[in-house]
Amino acid sequence: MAKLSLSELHEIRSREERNLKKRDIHGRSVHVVVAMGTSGIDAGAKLTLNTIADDVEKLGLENVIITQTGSAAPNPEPVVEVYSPQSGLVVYGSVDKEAAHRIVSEHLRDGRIVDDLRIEIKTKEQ
Amino acid sequence: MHDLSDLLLEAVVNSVEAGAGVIEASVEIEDGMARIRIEDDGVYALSSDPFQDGSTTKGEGRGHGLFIIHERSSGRCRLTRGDGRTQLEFMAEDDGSFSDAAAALLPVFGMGGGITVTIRKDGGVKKVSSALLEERDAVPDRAEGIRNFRNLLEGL
Repeated sequence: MAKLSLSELHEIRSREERNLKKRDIHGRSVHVVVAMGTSGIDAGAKLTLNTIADDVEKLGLENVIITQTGSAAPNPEPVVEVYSPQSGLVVYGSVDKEAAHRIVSEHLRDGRIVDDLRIEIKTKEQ
Repeated sequence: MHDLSDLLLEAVVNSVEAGAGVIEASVEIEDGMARIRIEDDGVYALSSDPFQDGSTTKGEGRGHGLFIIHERSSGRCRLTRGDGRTQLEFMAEDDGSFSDAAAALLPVFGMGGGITVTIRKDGGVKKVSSALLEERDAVPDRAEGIRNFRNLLEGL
């Protein structure tokens, strides 16, 4: 096993601390974040957010909290992030209405990551 | 392609990003036209032409929201400032996107607190505020809040 540098260890610890905080926001263990910047809105993020909200309400998923954030460009929008104690951070891209239904039923309700919708997050520098 | 309720959302995002603590929006729909006004107490560093694409003081890759509002309103928009308040006003053809008020406003109230939206349409008035949502346990960020939010909007 390769040794980690001190800076890498700090980065891992810092990331895990951030994740731990996200695991218990207002007593909810699963945190869904929908990117609602201009490019996301243009790609249909409002429908994505409303679909997720509808399904979370209909399924009575009381452990889920939904929040919004700004642009996720240059990633394929609409972008949805899911933080859960079981899976950590999972990022989904091109989340249209059908994809939103699947994320709620498969990931939020059943705890299974929707692999074919998952993306590796890119930053603007990449 | 942004619909009208997306433009309201863009305007509210703009206010939130300017650090506004109080955001008051009104939507008036009459004779097939919608007039939308947003007034806030945000702090802006406006460029000479804030409606130009990419015109922003917020950093690279930003500054498209007001441009889109300008385009969709065919230039029928204006931004004015005075007494610590900024007012954005624009007009566009009604596309029916406020017919489902809950779907139109859920993303708006997900942006944060201090927001009030008044919709005047077909002789009726719906007024919703962040304070009212808090009071009725209807902040739409979890199952129960979403349920209460939709019931509240239907009942107004």
